[in-house]
Amino acid sequence: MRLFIALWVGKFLLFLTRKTKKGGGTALPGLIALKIDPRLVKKITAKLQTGSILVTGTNGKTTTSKYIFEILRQSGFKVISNRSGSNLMRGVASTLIEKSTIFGRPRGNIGLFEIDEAAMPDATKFLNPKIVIVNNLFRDQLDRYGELDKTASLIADSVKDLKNITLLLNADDPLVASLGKNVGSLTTVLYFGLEEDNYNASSLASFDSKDCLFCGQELVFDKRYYGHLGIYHCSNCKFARPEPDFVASGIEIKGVRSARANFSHANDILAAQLKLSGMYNIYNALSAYAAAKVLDIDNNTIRQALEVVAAAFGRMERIEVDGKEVYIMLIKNPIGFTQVMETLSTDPAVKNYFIALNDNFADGTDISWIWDADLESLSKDFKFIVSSGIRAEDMTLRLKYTDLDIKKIDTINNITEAFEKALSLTGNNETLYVMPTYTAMFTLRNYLKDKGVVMDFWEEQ
Amino acid sequence: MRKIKICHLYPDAMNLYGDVGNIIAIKKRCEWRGFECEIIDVKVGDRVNFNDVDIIFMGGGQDRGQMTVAKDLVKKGKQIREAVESDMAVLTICGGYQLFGKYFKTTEGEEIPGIGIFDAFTEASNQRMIGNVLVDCRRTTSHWSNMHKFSLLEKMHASLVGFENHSGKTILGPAAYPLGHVIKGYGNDGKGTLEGCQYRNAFGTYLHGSLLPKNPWFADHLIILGLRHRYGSDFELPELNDDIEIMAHNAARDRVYTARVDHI
Repeated sequence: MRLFIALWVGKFLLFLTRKTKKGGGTALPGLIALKIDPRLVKKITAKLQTGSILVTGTNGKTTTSKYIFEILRQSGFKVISNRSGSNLMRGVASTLIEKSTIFGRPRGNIGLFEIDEAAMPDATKFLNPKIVIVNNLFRDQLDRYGELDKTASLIADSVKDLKNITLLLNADDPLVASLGKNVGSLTTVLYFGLEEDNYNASSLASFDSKDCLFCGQELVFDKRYYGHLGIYHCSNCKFARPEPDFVASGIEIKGVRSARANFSHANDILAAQLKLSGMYNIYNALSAYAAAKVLDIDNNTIRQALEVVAAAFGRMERIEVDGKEVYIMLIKNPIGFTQVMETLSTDPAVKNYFIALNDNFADGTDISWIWDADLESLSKDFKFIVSSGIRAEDMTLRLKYTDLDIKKIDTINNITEAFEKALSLTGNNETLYVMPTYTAMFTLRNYLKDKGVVMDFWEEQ
Repeated sequence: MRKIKICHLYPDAMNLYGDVGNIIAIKKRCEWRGFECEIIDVKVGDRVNFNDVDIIFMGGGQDRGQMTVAKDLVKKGKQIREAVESDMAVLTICGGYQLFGKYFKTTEGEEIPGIGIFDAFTEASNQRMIGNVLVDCRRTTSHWSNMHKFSLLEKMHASLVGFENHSGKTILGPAAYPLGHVIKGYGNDGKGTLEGCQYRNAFGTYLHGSLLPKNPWFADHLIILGLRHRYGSDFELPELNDDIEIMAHNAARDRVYTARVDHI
């Protein structure tokens, strides 16, 4: 009865927020409904036949979910998913209210949820997980979570008592891989990782988690793909990168436009041409591949899905504005920012940049992180940079200290005004690379929507 | 070519919150003036000749890194104290600042010894002090005014801007001078009164941000101290165009009043 009332109220509120178009009101109905029935989420997800897949980690949650969604959809699952953005519990509750009947029967047979690291303890308890994916742990929005180690132990605690689930961990991230050492015998732990000879990180940015988690000794990296992801071992104790069960190899990165890789599991190999570029997207595709393999989905379906997926909203998403090509790449932490720069540097063309730095809560109120990003690869090969957002001045200052020509930088706080300036400075056959933080991206998105620019559907639904 | 040497203590373990921006600021502001700036990265276990170091820098870190670092720092403590007495410059932030005090007391009551440069100690608390900070440093900078031949002080009104994120509360002893007075923010002990500490040419503060790029007069003060330490006499620093630094300083100062501080 409680559930019934909660759902009724939740659905009514959903209807109201849609009707009044109170922007981004996805969390409120869930919040209120959870007040009425705190067990609402558990009751609904318990009825999902195949249970749920949870995706967490600092970077790549949205893109990984998008890959998995497409694979599941193509193989005939009916997926209930929270899409990007509202990945705290109230957002998940809102999704479930919307996608179930008034009696709490879900309109689907599998759940797919991207979960904020901080929401993992609740998520694993209430969402009936069958597969949990942890992609990576980098520094992100530390003012919210405290510190990286705390985030890791939060996730470790939330997975250690789970029963009958498969934990898919990134073998190349020592902090993530260590999560596999302390789980109960009822959990299957499988690892994914890269086996790639041709690619070596050049930047030392976000080479964060270098100490062994078990003895404190500095880890030895035989190979480093980026940040602290690579092939490592401890010279003191037995901790080493686990042998991955799912492997990506033969990787080619082609600017921001595409990439290819071989995905394999034992002797079974699948080659795919991805629309999404960047080493970090290879990890996203690989973890989606691993989840699909766990669910026994056939290679053809997986390949088709991997190849069809285009960028999620703002994740290296290509759009056209006034006939000019624009790429939007969300930046939210040093490693993400550095990786975007490294991927861009594989494209020799002269570039135009628009960077928007906000310090609202969802962006992280501390903007110190821009000093941890390695922006050296940005220097020299650009026509202009428009620096924007609430903390535009800080961004401009950061750029000045990479020794680039400050006469080519404009500082304009107002995001839409700054974007229009950047667009007008971009030549007809040129590309504008847009790098906003989270809330800056939403300002930009609303502006572009009003302008009638077609954006990614993923967030629209 | 004139040069200064910076010793960056534990850059791999104490590297939270963009503190490396402070090293970048000193290095660039030296290079732009035609000085050489050598940076020595020091790890746990490394031997350092502190007599040949002009500025020590140490940032904040995670708890995991801090224990091993604290042990190693204590081994270097005597040498560092001697160097500070001979007017080497020091900048320590957050965790580094705490370990340059007398001790850090954990929530379990355990005392992790520091090296006692500052007459101060720190106690862990359950309160997380996070947000933009504005500090009035006029009292500190008036002592320096003879050293500064450039006009930044007036332009900046000798304020420091930054971002704090700590749960340790630092209490200054009777012999300690604060770096400044908090205009907005939590400061040393959460009461919003005093911020940071100084002894001779050693400074400690909770301000990230990064601190020095947005407070270039502080960066230049450290450079002057570094040069004086190496060459024994004062140099007039060639003036730099600091329009962008001042713009960022002022924007950060204004943000102290407009940023929402509610943490969900």
